Amino acid sequence: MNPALRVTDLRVSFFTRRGEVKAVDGISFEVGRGEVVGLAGESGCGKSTTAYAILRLVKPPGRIIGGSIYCDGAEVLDLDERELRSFRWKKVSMIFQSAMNSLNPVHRIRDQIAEAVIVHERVSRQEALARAEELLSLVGISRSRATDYPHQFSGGMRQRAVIAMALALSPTLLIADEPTTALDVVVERQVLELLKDMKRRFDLSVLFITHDLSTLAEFSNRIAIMYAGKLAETAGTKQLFSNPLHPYTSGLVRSLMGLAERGGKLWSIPGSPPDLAAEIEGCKFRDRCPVATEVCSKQVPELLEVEQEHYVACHNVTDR
Amino acid sequence: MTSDQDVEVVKQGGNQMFEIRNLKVHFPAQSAELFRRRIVRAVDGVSFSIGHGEVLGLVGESGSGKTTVGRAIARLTPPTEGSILLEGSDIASFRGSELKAYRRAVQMIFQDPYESLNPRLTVFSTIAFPMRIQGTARDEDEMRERCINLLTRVGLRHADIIDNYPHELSGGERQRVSIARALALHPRFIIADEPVSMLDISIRSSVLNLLTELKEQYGLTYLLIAHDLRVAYYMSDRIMVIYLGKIMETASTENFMRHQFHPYSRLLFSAFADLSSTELRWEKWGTTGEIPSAIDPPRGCRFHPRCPFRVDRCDKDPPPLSELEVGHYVACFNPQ
Repeated sequence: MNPALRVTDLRVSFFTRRGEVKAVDGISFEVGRGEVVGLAGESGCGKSTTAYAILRLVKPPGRIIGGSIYCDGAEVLDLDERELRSFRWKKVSMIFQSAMNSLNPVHRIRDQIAEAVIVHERVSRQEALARAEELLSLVGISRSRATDYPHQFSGGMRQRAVIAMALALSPTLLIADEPTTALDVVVERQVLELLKDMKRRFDLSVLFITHDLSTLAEFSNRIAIMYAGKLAETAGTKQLFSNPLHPYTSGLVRSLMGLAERGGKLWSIPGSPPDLAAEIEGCKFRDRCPVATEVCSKQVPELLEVEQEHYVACHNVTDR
Repeated sequence: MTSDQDVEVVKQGGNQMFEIRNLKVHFPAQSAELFRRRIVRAVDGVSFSIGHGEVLGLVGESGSGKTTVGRAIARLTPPTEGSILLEGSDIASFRGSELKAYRRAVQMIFQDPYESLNPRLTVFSTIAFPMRIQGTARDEDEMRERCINLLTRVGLRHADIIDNYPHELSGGERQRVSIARALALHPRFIIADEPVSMLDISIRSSVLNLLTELKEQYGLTYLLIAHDLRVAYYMSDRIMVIYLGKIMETASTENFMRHQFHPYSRLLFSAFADLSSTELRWEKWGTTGEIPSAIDPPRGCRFHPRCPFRVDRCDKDPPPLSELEVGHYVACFNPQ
């Protein structure tokens, strides 16, 4: 069966006064049907740009300059404006970090969701409103609150409403871009549980973007680690946590604060990500890498399979 | 009655820096109804102490009142009731030079380094600003030298950034500049309000390491405000959980992590994915709603509407904070 999403050698650049910033620099990955894939990395690594590219939402001065995005039987980069409109809701929908930005403050929650349905499907207003209420009750918002305005909702309820809206047209793929980052821990956990539940119920495929690996631990099937526009490592979730091979990944995993260790220093990765406007030869992580060797400053490491379904882009791992 | 019990917490242990007695901070709420005045009970009667050299982790969700407690101690928000004593003197009585000294001794680090730094000031001006206000540096050269020392101390390469503006810095660098600014006046007490929650996971640990080093080097005392129990766990000697303006539980970090008596503490604890075990602690809880508004907080125990362990009394009387183990205080009629 076709995967829900197949991204091949995707390249997105921003053309700024300082030159070309290669935000996404040739990445390839898949999201299988019914699979949850986590795309994780630091601010500025290109993970959100990847999401925007999949929905063709990259705005100037950014531009998709190459590659292919194959989603549910269609090449996304070939769609025209009209096709894109239905693609965006029916095939792929996205939830963002700030729920408030996805909701219109002057319309009632229920009506906004119904509106999304009416625009895309031939249904009566009555049917659309009923569907909106049903979706809202699925995400735990009662009928009595359905006609509230966004400002009357708490942060957690808003994010629930946004999830309901994203599911309104039964998309194949849901892209969640840091959906819980702005929320408190308890509410974050509730929203994650809701997403898990919705994934099962709607048989969704999910691309979950986050800087916090720990949110993926109990949710994703696979994780792709992104660094400076490239993929550093991809593996099954368990494997990635128990046997991270790329020095960047192991740094990320070690810097996660568990509730187990205390006293002594927390692990952290020294330095900060490179300036993507500058031309960097070799591996982009080498300046922060504890095991970098000469080859790392000369050759770009390729993402290679080192064990089954475990890919790493590191000379130290793949050249052995 | 709660406050009498709470005072007991204050009394034990002699060498206290701060004593907070029955602190209440209420705000008038905006209301659609013109003639009905409503009150936000942000902090509603909390008593606790902070020892010299201690790191107290104040943990709670948005709307719990934790930031308001910090602001009251920093004298940025006046208490409605109760008092805050620094080594026995009420900070509300400080005037003139005493107040100025207090403002030097107590510094705050804010959550959002994007908002807490003035975008029009360079790093140098930002850090030198408190020195100018307080007149603690002789001249421009001394200011610059001290600024360079501070930047080095917080792990920044001063030559690269001293004349930069905040927008030219990363989030982690900005937070380090905020820390340098807080240190500029040699404070004794730092209120760190969610110092890492806006930062990427990958740089959180380095900022927490820095705060720990600074504490040891300068003998600082911290009030660490966090919604993330992991942050409090790593940094604090003692943890205090606050919910809708009331203390739910307080204990040494070891004791707290070993056992949480209060169902709300349990909920906070279970919200973390435990990477070291496969046990799904969360499943036992399911969805239990969200923190209600502090305008009309629930009667009795403020957590009772969400509590799976509530008993008959919970919606009638507020449970007093009582000592269940040595130094482990819990406000619950049905501790777990």
